[in-house]
Amino acid sequence: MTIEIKKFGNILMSRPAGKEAFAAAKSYVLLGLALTADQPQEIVLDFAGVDVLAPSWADEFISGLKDLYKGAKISYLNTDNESVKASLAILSKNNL
Amino acid sequence: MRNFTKKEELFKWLQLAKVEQVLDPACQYNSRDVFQAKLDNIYQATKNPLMVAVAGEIGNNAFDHNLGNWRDISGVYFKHFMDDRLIVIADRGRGVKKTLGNIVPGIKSDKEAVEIAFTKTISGRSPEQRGNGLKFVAEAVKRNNWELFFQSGTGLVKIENGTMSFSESSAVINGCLAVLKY
Repeated sequence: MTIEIKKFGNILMSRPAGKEAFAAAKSYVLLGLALTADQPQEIVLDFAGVDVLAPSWADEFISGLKDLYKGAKISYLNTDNESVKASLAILSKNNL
Repeated sequence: MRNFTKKEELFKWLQLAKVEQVLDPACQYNSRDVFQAKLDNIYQATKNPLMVAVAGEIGNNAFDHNLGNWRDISGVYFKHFMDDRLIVIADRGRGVKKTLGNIVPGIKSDKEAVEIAFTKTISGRSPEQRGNGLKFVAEAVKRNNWELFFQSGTGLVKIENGTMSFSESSAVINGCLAVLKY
């Protein structure tokens, strides 16, 4: 499954905003999966159209996904934006 | 630290044990929402995603760690000097040593506290998985050859020419002060 991150906003910063985005995703975007009880093998996060990403937002959102779908591979698309690249790099360095 | 308008006034304001007024109402952002709106504007003006993310991490840290616990004035002082490519962010919060003291007992000095904050993945808000923010800031500043001056209490962090150093200042900052040259 692919999640279009730009649907949560173009400038994605702060932990409360990331937490809120994950809560919304869980209730609506991921609802179909929960209803069919499917555990996705892979979740693709597509950052096309995101202007600014800070690690706090990304940490809350990705940690939430990892807790919900333990074992699923999370991969990233369209990460050319400097802030997206740097945020994902620091999280990956710290094993998120 | 680089020169900027009202530098001396800001420094003095942060050194006072107690204040009753904001330094400049036009630069004071009392809630995370208005701070975010300001950063949105700065992004539109500069189209610099990494600088906005760095400023956001520093400013949002102030809200993360001081909500309900500000020393006297709530929120952050924030000023962007567009022509000078300079950002100043300050808060009159608890400061790094007190914040980290919740989770790392026995921190002896402000210098040790800022060194932990900028180099170790640890946060005062344990058990939440936090503590990446200032490491992200340091990485971005070093990689892009920007400059950062950060002080909390007497603990001083400088990043210049891709190198980060820690020292003790003779002056005390109540809360945190960050000056970013990008």
